[in-house]
Order: sequence, then structure tokens, then C-alpha cells
Amino acid sequence: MNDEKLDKLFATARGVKPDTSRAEYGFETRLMAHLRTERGPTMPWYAFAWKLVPTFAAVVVALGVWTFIDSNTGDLQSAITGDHDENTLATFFTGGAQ
Amino acid sequence: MLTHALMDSFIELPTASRQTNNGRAMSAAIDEPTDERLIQSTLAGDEEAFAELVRRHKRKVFGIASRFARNDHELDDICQEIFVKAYQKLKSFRGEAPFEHWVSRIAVHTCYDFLRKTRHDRENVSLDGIEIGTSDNVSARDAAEVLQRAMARLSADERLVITLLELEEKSVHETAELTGWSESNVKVRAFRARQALKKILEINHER
Repeated sequence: MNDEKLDKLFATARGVKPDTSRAEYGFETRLMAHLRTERGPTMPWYAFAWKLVPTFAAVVVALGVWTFIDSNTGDLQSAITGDHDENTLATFFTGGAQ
Repeated sequence: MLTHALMDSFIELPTASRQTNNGRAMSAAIDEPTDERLIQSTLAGDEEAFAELVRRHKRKVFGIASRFARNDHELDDICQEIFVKAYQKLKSFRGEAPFEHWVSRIAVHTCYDFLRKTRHDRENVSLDGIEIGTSDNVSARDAAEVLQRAMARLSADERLVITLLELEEKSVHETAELTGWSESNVKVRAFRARQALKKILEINHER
């Protein structure tokens, strides 16, 4: 086959425009449905907030326990050390027996 | 006097009505959003804006894809892939070229990928039972059928370049822009594709 024949074949084939009307029908609807499924359901950020409730509850409980223990141990410690210091000073100044 | 006034108003009515219709048509043309506007709306989350963009440009995309798809199902798949890519890459559209050119480039690249993926299926396409005859008496439908089957045996790049140059009648420059290849590369590939196609058709003709 020579170039001239091939060119004629192309020129003749160019006259046939593929009919795409059937495939085009309702294409936008199918495409938008495809895009929606691909993206998945869109959830606002606050929709996930409830999932953080247990975490926040645990943090609050931990803070409460820590504060309670800290305040108790703090008092005890100061009482012990305070008394000890005062006793030591009194003994030193009065010359009492230890 | 009153009759004359009424007559005048009746005579004037069609003209006024025509003006109103022209006005409506003009305002509709003005109201119709540009592609750039639709792109901005899509990026802002308006799905209907993207659907309108698809509606405007699907004919062009279907025209390109139909040269490579073997049936309506494949055609639908390719076109969906093209527009999904366009949607995902929309942020990178800078507006330097019209949206139609941009989406055509995506279409050509997607079709090229499709040809590469389905290459093995196409190698088995038979030319038996198809009479090429002389080019003078072959009908347009037969010519298209012969070329379709012969081109199925070409490699992906050969088929792409020959389709764009010979069937879509794109220039070398346009083909280079669409494919992302250099112009000299397009010329070389086109030459090789023609040689390969002639060989395929000759072998079939000799049988």
C-alpha cells in the first residue's frame, strides 16, 4: 500500500463521525454519583467531637485524682516538715533535751 | 381617537414583544457564567457548577475518546475517568489556556493510558473478512472499520499519534501540545506509525 492510498483511506474514514449521543445521555448524573461515592460522605469536623468525649472524661478524672492526691500529700508534708522545723528551733533556743 | 390609539398599541405590540424577547436572550447570554466562574464555584464546593462544565465540554471529550473505545461501555468508563481526573486536578488549572484545551490534554493522556492497558486485548484483533479493495470504491464505513481494526494492532503511541494527526486532523504543533511530546518526536512517531499501518494493511491485502 502506498502513501496515496493510505491518505485516501484516512480521508474516507474521516467522514464517519462516531455517534456518541447514546453514551452521552445522562452522563453528568452518572459522573456526579461516581464523584460522590469516590469522595465518600462529607462529615463536618464537629461530627467527630463525640468521639473525643471519653478522652476528655479520662483527662478530667485524671486531673481530679491528681489534684486530690497532690493536695493531701502537700498538707501532710508541710505539717510534718513544719512541725519538725518548729520543734528543732524550740529545742535549740530553749536548750531542752531532744 | 381612542380607536387609533388602540390600533397603534396593537401594531406596536409585536415589535415590543420582539424587543423583550431579544432582551431576554441577551440577558440570558450575559447571565450565563463563564468557565472560569464555574471553576471557581466548583472549587468553592458547588457540585452543580462542575456538572455544568461537564455538560459544556462532554461533546469534545466524547469525540476524542470514541476514537479509542471499542464500545459504549468502554467509552463511558474512559470519559468518567477523564472528568474525575479533571475534577481532582481542578486546583492546578491556572487559566493560561481555555478549559477545553486543558480537559482535552487530560483526555488524550487518559486515552493513551487506556491504550497501553488494553494493548494485549487489541493484538488479537483479526482483519479477516474485511475487504479493503481499492480506496476509490471503499465506503466510508468500511474504511473506518478497516482502519479501526488495523490501528488496533499498532502500539499505543503509534495509534495515538496517527489518530490525532490523520483522523482528528490536528497539526503537528497541536498534537505535540496535547501529548506533551516534542514536535520532532511527533513527526518521528507519525512516520513509524504510517509505516507500520501500511505493512499491516499490505499483509491483509495479500491474503
